[in-house]
Amino acid sequence: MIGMLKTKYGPAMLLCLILLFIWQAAAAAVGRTHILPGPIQILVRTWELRDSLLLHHLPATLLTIVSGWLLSVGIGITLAVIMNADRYAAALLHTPLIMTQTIPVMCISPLFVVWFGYTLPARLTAVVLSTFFAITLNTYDGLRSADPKKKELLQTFGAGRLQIFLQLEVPSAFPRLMTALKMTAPWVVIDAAVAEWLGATEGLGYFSKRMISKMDGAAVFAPLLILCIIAFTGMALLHFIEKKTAGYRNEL
Amino acid sequence: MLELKDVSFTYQGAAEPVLKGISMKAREGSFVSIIGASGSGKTTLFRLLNGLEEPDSGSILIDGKPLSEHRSYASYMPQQDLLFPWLTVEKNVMLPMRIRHCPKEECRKQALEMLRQVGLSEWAEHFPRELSGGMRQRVSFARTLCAGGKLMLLDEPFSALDSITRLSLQEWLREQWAELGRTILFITHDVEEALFLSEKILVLTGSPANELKEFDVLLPRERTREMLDLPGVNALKAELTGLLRKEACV
Repeated sequence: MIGMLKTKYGPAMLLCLILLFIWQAAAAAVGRTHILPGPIQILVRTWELRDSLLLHHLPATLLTIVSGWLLSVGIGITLAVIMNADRYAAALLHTPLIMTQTIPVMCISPLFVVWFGYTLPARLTAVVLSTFFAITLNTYDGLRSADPKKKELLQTFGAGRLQIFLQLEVPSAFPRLMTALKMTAPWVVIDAAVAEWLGATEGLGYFSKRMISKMDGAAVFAPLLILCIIAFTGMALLHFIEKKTAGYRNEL
Repeated sequence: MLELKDVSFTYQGAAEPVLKGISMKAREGSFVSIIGASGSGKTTLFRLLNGLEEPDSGSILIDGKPLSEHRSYASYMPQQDLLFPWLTVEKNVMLPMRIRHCPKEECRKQALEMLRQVGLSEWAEHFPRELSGGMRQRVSFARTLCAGGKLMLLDEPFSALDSITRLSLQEWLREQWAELGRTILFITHDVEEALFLSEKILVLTGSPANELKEFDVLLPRERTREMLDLPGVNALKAELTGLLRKEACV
């Protein structure tokens, strides 16, 4: 136990184990699995439901997550580049963009279902609306943070606007873009599940909601466990990519 | 040959000009230092020479033709090394050539040659963060060499370094200059540095700067630090220091 505390992730793992133990103990004390299942019951139920969860609902959710995120990143970066290229565009877009962030997306998501039906576009709209702005804002700030002295140096080499953008602004913005990706990765997973919860015929979020009506507490948690693993894996992957590619963050 | 005739310049929105009727000449292949008090307009002069700013009046001529008619005549080395942290040493040196769309292999060959010239060829694949301050300045110098042009504008390149590194880089720069045969304009506010390095010293005087006072350094091309203690050099040093002190009080 003491040896575990000395490793890099040891203390965090230990805390997780303690919290899981408390949860399990509380569940045993309450004694009503359909209301408060313990971690062990959830693991057992996830195993029982594995075929339906992994083969049917997980692919649907992954499709929402991946396509929603790609769309969000695409829109986010495009807007940032436009705003960076032209200050009138920046002034024009800034307020409307902030307005989109004042809308509680969850509240209007049912409307997307009315517009698009129980389809992928309805869920993508919700996912993109709640994530693109963090990407736009971080990338835009990153592009603008390019060192003006380096910009002038490139000018003395004869660089034009496009070359300054490619050689200086893009690499300067990259670490911030990575931050935005790390921020939005768990949001995308959550938003995809919420969007399914509000209007879908398949997916982990939809499955979880259906299990509530069946009063099957452990089965409500089972898809959430898978969502947690997806978000966690995504974060770890991004952390790894960031370490490999954006290590110059502190030297900017 | 570089020649400035009656050049004046005012920054946008500023009431007073920075430079007012400045004239100077620099022979091809010479080493000229420009000294002056802080804020006297030395860097502004360089900004005019590398085309970042345009004079309000007067002309900058190279071999008798206006600066605007020459392409990449001057290369600029800033005070900080300004190396790009995401590029390897080699790619940093290649950058000015890549911007001119020079083929990659040719760029690489030339960059390696320049790195050899500055004694850092074995560091080509490393990143700037792995280098010491002095090494980074040498990479920056190699990059300036790759930017081409017969005129090198060095803007206090050693001012951020510790004094030991600074002394050794001064000696190193003199060797480079002797080998490369390029014209070097060198900004500094260190009188001793100017005396050791240059053939001619120009002192930017007046507020706004309206004259470049010219002083010849009567030392041989092959020089040592001990020569700075010769009576004639000492007298010049005292004169320059006195002039700078007076300028700083204006």
